[in-house]
Amino acid sequence: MEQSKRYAEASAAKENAARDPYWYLHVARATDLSGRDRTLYRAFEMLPGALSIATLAALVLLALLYPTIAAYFTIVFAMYWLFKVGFLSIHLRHNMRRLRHNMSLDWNARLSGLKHEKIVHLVLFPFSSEPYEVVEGSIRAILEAKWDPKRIAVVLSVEARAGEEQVRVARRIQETYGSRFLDFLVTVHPDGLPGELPGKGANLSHAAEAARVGFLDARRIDYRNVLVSAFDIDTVVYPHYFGCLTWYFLTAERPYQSSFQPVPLFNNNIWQAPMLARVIAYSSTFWQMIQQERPEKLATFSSHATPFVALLKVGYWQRNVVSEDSRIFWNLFVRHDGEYRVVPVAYPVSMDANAAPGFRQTVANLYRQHRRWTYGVENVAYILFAFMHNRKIPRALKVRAVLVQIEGFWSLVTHPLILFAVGWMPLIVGGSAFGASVLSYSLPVVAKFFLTAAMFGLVASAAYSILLVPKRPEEFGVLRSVALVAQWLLVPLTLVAFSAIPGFESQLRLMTGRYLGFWITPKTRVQLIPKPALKPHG
Amino acid sequence: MEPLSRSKRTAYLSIFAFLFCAIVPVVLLYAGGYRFHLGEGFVQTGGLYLEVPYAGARVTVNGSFVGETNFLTRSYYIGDLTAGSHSVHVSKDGFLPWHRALEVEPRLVTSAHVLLVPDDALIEEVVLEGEEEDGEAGGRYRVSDELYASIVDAFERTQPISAGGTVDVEGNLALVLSDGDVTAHWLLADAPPPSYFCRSPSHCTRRIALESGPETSVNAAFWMGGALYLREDGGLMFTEIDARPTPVSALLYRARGAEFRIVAGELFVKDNGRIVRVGF
Repeated sequence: MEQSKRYAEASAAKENAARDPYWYLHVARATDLSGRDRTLYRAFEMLPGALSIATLAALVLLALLYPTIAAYFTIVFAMYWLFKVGFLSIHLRHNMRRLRHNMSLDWNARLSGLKHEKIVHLVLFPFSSEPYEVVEGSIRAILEAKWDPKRIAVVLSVEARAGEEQVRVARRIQETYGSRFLDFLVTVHPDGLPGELPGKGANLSHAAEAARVGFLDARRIDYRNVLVSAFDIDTVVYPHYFGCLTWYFLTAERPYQSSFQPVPLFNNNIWQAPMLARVIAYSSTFWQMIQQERPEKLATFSSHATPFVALLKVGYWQRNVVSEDSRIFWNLFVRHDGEYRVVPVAYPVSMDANAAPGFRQTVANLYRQHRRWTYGVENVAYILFAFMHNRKIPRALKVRAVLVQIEGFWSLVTHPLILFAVGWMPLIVGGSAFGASVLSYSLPVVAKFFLTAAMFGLVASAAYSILLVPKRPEEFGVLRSVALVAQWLLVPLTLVAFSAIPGFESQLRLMTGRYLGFWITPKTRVQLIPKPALKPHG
Repeated sequence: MEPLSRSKRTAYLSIFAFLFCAIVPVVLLYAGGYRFHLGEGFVQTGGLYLEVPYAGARVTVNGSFVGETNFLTRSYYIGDLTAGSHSVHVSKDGFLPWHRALEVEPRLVTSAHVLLVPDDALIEEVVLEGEEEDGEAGGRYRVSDELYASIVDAFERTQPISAGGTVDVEGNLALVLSDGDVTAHWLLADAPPPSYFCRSPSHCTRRIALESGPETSVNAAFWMGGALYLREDGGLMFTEIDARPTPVSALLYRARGAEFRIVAGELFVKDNGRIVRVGF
């Protein structure tokens, strides 16, 4: 009986592979599969959480049984943290220079020697309940960019569940600004389509297909000339975004096997956002800047750009996942048998920092947003499963990609908890013999020394954040600028509360099969700052 | 401008990895108590940990000033001490000086809770809150009817000691009166005793003699982090519980036939029918 079941499963798998060699491309979770594949995928889903739990449990056990070894480990780990901060700071510094350099260039002039006239930018704005002024700010920024709007098509894709009022917002924007673009589509993404998880991925895909039918095919535009920017509704472009993106596309080694990642700033409302929101926003930006200098570790994040032909090949963004922004990269990577990369475009786009009207609401929103971001851990199972079925991807590439992803999500959860909680366990549970050792007295002194030294890396970050911040509005005093530096003292708190803990929750949810749904960050901008200023280099 | 090249990143990584590997052993040796002394190479050192209950106390170790306790700092860790005896002095105006020769062992920390006893005990007559002043200002400790009744009741109850046995228990510590001598005992057989039971970190006892001289004690109790014992001659003594020489000991009250009780954490003495509160 068991043997025949296995035979049937094997036959089904072979049939799948024969029908479509990439049949696994849009698997979102174990429940999408059956039989052995389902069991395997489920095990892969449990892996990150299990690794994090095992690590933390092992350290607690070590502290109980061998507190001396645990204490030495904590000291070495604090030292490792300092060196890691130092090492990553070099990347951040280089990217900052590159960003400012790119900001100072005239990208349209740089394009003069390249055939760029046929390039069309398709900008997708999925949106739900955001107010008119947020949408308008993003559209106006595109119009004010140094790129002919007649070579830009915009799709405003409204979630049907947001209601008629939001459709009216989209129509009003279309009426006001639509004629200035090559094309301007307003489409409504129906609610509750089968196989979809309500969220950005499903809406983006709907918008892309609407653009293909209603704009590209209608105007007979060659798909190969279309670059798609998938934006959040609050994404505000800087003046040379399109020129810069076009240049990177045209000079890429394999342009149709590349996605393009700008640096996400969260400057739109940065002066209005509370301190906690600011430090978390800049932490996210800095991490992306560091990754820009390590392209082999870079996946698409938040607002990004992709050639239309590549998107078409994978059926656009996956409609049934939470972290569609990073998943699209892995879809493309797998579909191109590993011959796909992200090109770091050291040029900024700006979004809203996560700020709600009240502090408690801001904290809750920040937590939910980071839980959603860290839910990117769902990619680990996908990558492992897809790599298992795709034998064309070189093994070394697979190993590296898997290790980078697993290490990333593992360290996101475990490192802050080790540094600020579990690492100090020997002092609590180490017993009297350990308590009477010189080591027990040295542990807090030495570990604190390294952690404090690591804070100097954050002081450097504070300096960088000042370079990135737009000019202070007149209604804010100098104290607000001082707070911009002082905010970095919150980093130990944010590392634990808005990185490790939501990350851990994401992993536990995935581990226990309590899958997360998409949560849209509310945009409650008090006042729009249409053109965030960034001082160019020199 | 291009992203950091792979060769540059590898170079940075190599430098950081080299520095990390070079520094780790040094840091671990340091954390474990090893110090480099010229001419001696790496030496295993130990440390002292002192807890002082009051602010404004001056701490010296081997004649060197360590610091003065304040509102925030009430404890000191003195590391980098070679193995052997180290002389610790703690002084504060109005209190008996605290002195101890503490034995330091390699890679271990000797800890001590400094007990500061005032030069003079405060003695106040216990009176009821509503009682009228008789013209003498001060020297009176006013208590509620309820507390007064409790104090009287405590003195009226039969004292559970005579010939000896355990007279008081606090946590895992017991005070035992035996043949007129007072000893403190660590009750947990399978757990190491606290540092004050240890002459050095690795030489601990489970019994400390608090009073073993020619005097005969008739009662004892834990109080204010130390121990009280009442001698047959009426002398009420307060002493530190510490196996290391020489614990602080002070005479708080003397009156033949006096008795003491501790009620609500306060020390009361009954002397010829009069009840007084003795405090610091």
